[in-house]
Amino acid sequence: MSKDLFRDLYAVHSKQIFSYLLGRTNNKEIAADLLQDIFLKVWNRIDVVRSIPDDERLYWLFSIASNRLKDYYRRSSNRRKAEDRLRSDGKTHSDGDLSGVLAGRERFRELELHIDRLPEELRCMLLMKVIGGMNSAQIGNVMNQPPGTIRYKIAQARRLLAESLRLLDAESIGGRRGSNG
Amino acid sequence: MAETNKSADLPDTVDAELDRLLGEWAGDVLIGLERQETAILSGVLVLTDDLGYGWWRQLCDQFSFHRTAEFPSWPVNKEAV
Repeated sequence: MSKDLFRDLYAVHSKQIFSYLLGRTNNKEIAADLLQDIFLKVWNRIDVVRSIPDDERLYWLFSIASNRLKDYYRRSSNRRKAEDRLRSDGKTHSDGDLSGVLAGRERFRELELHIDRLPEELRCMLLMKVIGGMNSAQIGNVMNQPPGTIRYKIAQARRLLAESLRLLDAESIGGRRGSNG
Repeated sequence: MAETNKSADLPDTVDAELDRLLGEWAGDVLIGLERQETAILSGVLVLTDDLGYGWWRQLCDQFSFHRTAEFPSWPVNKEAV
């Protein structure tokens, strides 16, 4: 049954596609809208899905997502520039000290600001791992890079994030405190 | 090779803290996505139920695209011709 196949596809792969879209667009609402568009296309080609082996469906979905993203960038390049400008204008430069940071959502906003500042490729790979739950081989297939390179770049993204969050400073301060006390 | 989040050049405590922060954030993002999931799924299915291939096919099947030799038989003002 087509609807069951469609629901299965959505249940298994939507988070992975969403993580990629979020990594590329940096905007949860846009990523969710694009996700809906992509699954609309999937539904319209549900007969094609049947002929694709299970382990290749993810990459077929990513090819649709990638094309939809290109289309989105083409159509909204001007709007996006304006949004980027607004976003950067609205950003407050924090001191990055997460240790004393506000609880709950405020802390997530803080973390998102730092994730936003990562280079797009690194951010995308990191989110595909953290939100999409994808392994480096799967990400490598999507990004057309060897798994070893993906692991290296994710480590790089984590390093940059730790630095911008000043977790390393906190660690060294904690270390000093520990040694003094 | 086993997958690991660990960054070779980060201290263990920083790695663990980063994992915790990212894990909690990812959980929050996914809860947000789950809230939209019903809307996305039903949106797609409602749209496709209305405007999918089957719907258009059904609509087109109701039309005849054959040429017809018959002219309409509306009254013609013969005096004007």
